[in-house]
Amino acid sequence: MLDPVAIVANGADRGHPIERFQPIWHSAAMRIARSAWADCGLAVFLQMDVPYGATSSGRLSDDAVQLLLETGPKSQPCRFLEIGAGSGIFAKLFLDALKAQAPEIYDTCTYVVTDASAKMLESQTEYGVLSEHAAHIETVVFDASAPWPDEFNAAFDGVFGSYILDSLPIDILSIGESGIKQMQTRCTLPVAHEALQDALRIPGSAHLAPFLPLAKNLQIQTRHIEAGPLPFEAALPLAEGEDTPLVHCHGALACMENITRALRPSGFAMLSDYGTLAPREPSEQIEFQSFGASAAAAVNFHQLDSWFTKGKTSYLKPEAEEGHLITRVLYNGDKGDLSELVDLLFGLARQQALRLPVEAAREMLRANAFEIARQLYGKAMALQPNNWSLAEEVAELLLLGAKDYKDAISLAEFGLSLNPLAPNLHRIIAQARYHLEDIPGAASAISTCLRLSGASPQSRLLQAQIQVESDEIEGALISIAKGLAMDKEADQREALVQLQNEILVSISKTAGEDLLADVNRTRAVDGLMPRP
Amino acid sequence: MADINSIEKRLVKLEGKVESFYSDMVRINNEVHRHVTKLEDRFNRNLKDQNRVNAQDHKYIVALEKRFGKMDKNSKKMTKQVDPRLMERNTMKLVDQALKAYDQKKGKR
Repeated sequence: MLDPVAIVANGADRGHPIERFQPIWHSAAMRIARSAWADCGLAVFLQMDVPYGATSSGRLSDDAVQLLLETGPKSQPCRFLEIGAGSGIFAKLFLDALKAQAPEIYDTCTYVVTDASAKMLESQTEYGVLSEHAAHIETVVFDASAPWPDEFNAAFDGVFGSYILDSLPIDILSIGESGIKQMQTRCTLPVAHEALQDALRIPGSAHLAPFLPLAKNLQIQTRHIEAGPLPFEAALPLAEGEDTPLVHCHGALACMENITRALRPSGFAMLSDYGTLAPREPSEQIEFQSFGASAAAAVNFHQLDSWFTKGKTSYLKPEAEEGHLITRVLYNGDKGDLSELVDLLFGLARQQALRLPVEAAREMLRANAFEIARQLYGKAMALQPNNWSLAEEVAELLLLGAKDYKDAISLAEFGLSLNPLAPNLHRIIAQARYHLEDIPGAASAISTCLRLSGASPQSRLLQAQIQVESDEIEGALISIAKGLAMDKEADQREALVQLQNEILVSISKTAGEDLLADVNRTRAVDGLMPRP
Repeated sequence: MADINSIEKRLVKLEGKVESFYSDMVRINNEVHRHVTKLEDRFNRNLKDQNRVNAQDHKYIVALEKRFGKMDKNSKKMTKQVDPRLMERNTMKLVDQALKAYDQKKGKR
């Protein structure tokens, strides 16, 4: 007999399975996403595939220095550890601030920069992110989700992690009176792919990088089965009430336990990530966020908070907070020493004071109220003078809104003194110099911008405009072609095509003039000559 | 000289005629009265109906007037709210409040 429900469900079974059902962390989709990190260098940050402005803007680096100074004088040279260092900009700005505020600590300190991707660390060196502080830097390829080495025990005065907890192992569970069920997934592809299936049978994820282009075609089938033994089971809520989804962040829990062991007396850890503060609703679905080819799930801070408030190490969180960037501090000392500062730095009052002026300024920009936007950005910058990401936003206002080209250049140059690798700051300088008719200066800035991030149609358009001014017509047409090829969203298509037409019209006009000049070179002026 | 009997006969006949006229007059008067009363009733009823309709219209118009009044008030309020200068003032006020709250918190340390 026909079952209409089964007929409707048939569609979900479509495609060729490339693996068996297994916990989400081990699924092909997540393993391929993880391989993206192994394969990439700083390009993911420079092209803004991974938005690192929030955690590496300089604000959190300054906050970390404040926390360090609050923990009191140090009897031995300080050692710092950063896990999942990524761009290295957090470390650079931390050491900049430490050098300025506590040179005596800076002079003898060591900062251990770690990342699970060797290529990322090589890329940091290649771009010279930490070259100014090279004497204080140790780089170690280290996966924060793997067992921590013994030499890390009680070895650090500060441990930092930004956007790393969301990349550590998780399980997605459904917990309710029917028990604890684990979500398992199976990926399918529209057509069978034996090479990928073979690669998936080999443990690990780094070797899956060649299959990254297939990631967008993966379909994920899910099912829930009764969960077997899970790590950190004691951190799960009671199985009661309606079945409710839960992100079980056992990787983050394990990592933070390791961090507590890595802290020296009076050592602290500052961990920032995006996540949820309250338990999920039964009707909610857990979604992953994609950053370029990589994927991450919001950290279950509610679970971390419940687990660590019982621990021996002081676990500090602000009294009230909002927004998506959440910070927690672990402190190997008396909680009272840091609780006020933690509330001040990461609490609601500061979050609003940092957020509102910028949001209001953006709103005013949309209403073309440039002057009031400038005033609001001024207030925002007074609170975060060392935030290169904010400097970039304000420089853009000065460039496009207020047309204060010289000020835009000065502010962008200031931003670059904090983060020399921000391609947009170079683009702003190039554009401002172009408007000031400093074409060689503009050409030099846009070339640096494109060396850092060549995949920006906006920068390619500007490059073409600069090349037109320098009479590099062929180069301009090539820049336009590159811009069009990478402009997937068609944001700059119209402007690029218009510039191309102008160039082509100009070429035809010049050719026409040349031809006319050539065929009309001989002039008979006999009739005009005075008769002898 | 006319015969007295014939005169009396004529008198009686005339009396009869007068009485007949009189009763006709009374009947007609009564009918006219009844008709006028009926018209009066109809008029009163119509007047009453008209008043009721007028009262309903009045109520409706008053309600409409109230609604328009409210809309006028709201539109004035909206005009004020979308007034860029007022928007700016409100935004700046909110921002300043947030900055002040943070300053106070910082000052307490």
